[in-house]
Amino acid sequence: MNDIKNQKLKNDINQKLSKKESELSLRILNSIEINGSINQQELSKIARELEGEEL
Amino acid sequence: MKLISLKLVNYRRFQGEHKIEFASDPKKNVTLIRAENGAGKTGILMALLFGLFGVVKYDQFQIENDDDIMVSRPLLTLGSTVKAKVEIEFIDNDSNYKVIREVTANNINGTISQNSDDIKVWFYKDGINQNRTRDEIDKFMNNMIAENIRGFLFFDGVRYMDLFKNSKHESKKELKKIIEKMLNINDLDETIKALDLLMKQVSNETNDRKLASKLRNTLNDIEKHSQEIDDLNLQLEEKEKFNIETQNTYDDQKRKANEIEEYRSVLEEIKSNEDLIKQSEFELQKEMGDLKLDAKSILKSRIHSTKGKINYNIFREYSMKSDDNTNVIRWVLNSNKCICGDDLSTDKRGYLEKQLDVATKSDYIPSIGNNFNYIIDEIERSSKDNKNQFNDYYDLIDKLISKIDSLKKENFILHEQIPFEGLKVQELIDNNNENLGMLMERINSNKIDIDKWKLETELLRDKIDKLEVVKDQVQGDIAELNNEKYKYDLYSSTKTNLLKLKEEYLIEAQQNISQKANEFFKRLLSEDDKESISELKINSEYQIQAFNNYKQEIFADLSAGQKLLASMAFTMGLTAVASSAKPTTNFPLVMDTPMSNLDKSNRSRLIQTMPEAVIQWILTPMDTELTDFEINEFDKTERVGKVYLLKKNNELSEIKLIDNLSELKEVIR
Repeated sequence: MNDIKNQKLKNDINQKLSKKESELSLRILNSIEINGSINQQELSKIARELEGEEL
Repeated sequence: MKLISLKLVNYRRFQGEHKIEFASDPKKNVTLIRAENGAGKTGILMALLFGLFGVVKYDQFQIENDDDIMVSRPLLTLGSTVKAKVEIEFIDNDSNYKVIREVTANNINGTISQNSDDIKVWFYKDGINQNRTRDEIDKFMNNMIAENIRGFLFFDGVRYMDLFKNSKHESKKELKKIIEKMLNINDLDETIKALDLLMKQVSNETNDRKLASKLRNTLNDIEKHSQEIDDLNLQLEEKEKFNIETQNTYDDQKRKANEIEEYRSVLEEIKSNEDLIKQSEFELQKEMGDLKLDAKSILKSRIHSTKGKINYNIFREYSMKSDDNTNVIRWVLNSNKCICGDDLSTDKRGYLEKQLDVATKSDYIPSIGNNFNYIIDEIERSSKDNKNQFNDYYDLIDKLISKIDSLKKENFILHEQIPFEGLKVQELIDNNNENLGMLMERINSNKIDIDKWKLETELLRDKIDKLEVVKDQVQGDIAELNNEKYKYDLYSSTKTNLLKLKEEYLIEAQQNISQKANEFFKRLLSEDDKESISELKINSEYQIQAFNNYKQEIFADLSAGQKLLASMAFTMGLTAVASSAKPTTNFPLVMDTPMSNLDKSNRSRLIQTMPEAVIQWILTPMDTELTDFEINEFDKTERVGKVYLLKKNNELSEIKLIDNLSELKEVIR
């Protein structure tokens, strides 16, 4: 069930958000742990990576 | 998914091995497990949850005991170690599965403990052991029935009533939580929260004093207003809780009032019977009087009717001696001989006795002794007119007496039905009406406060919304100074778009759940109820609403039973949306004490509807929920495949298979 719904969420993000926005959202979504909270380390990593990509 | 069987070994109240086979035939898909209170019906549901999903904490049941030992306690004697086992067989996608879970408990020096972390699990597919770890099995099972809908499939009637009480603040929050979890809004929320954090990271610090102070002030104001909203919400919750309680008291009183009203109709019936009795007694008196007036001629006619073979001399002799013609009759009765010489028949005797009774009460009976010949003539003459008159009088009187008798009997039965003294009913009705008025007044005055606070909350939210815009601007400015504007804008626009997506999801889900719940509700409602309740809806505040034909919201006015049906419909709606199915669900529905709040007509509706709506329906009703009435209703559906009885025996219980519903009726009798 979770997977199906997540798939729908992923599809919607891809369709309704810009490329950069959806990339960012999906990275964060994937960093959410099974218990549903944000992984701080992952988040910092995402921020650093974005920097590296020279937005 | 269909459940095939549940096997328990030394599990809770069930010492030794017990097995329940579930009705899984599409045409016979109902399993009834009837239990007396405390016989372990909830234990059956817990065993299902434990066996299938490894659940050891049961949020959906009202269990107070934290120290939940699954191993049958009487076996845990000093120094012993005992295993409890739950084995469940089910079918999914044409494959047969079996999950076995085993837990161990021991009694060391009188302290009983159970290691819930060390549960052994076996998992078979089509008879072959899959050698899977516990985590793998749990994940597999979770994929089959996700945790978020489990609570709805394993349904506790009592808890769900609480959840769906109208306008209850916590219920709404709880529902919101469930729905959002179901739709995976949690993940979306977390992502939005993460974006907030990222936005903060690039816009929090600046050397620009003015901007820093503006940001600080805005954040403070937001914080302040949020706090105010929280405070208001606390007050609101309290008032709403109070109103719910008052509403419950009101409902109770109303129910009592209706009960009294019901007796009022009985009393009215008694009263109208009494009036009829009075009227009939009056008629009776009149007829008796007429009869007495006519007794003379009637008496003559009666004597005449036996004259055919009259022993003239005896009659003559006797009547000459007597000064009252009633003596003639007495003489006939005493001698037990008819004037004709034959023995008196019972009929004739009865007739004469009645005649005598009437005659002796009359003041108008003349003596016949001295003018016998004249009287004989008169008898001859009057008998022609009066031959049937006595019969007519008698028939009429007899009818009146029977009528009075039956009215009195009826009134006696009606009196028996009333649990209180008839005279007090009006008093009770007046008291109740007064109480009801007072309670309604209290509810209404609270509602005024509630509405006021809701408005205040809305105003505060508006303020916060405006402050959020200011905050966004300031943070944007700071980000620009920090050369992070591009990042900030990306975070911000992503957040805005995700919020929009969330909004869309919620509206879509709300509409779908509404629609499906409404479809199901219509199936559960009686034709009568359908005329007064036209639609069931869930609004954007996750509040269940019911509307009448005039589009007026009437949820609060529904009966407890209707509310429970609404909650069941809502459950089915949620489940259907979650499983993207039609308002039939491909999961078994297991209901604990499902009918305690339903009246007979609603029970029979539910019994008719549910077997068609779910793939499998497993119920654990209390003995009071499964009486002859419900059993007959189940019988009519021809859907019941398996029947069990949970029998309590001190600390233990037994599971007894019953062949059919007729046998169940016999056994419980």
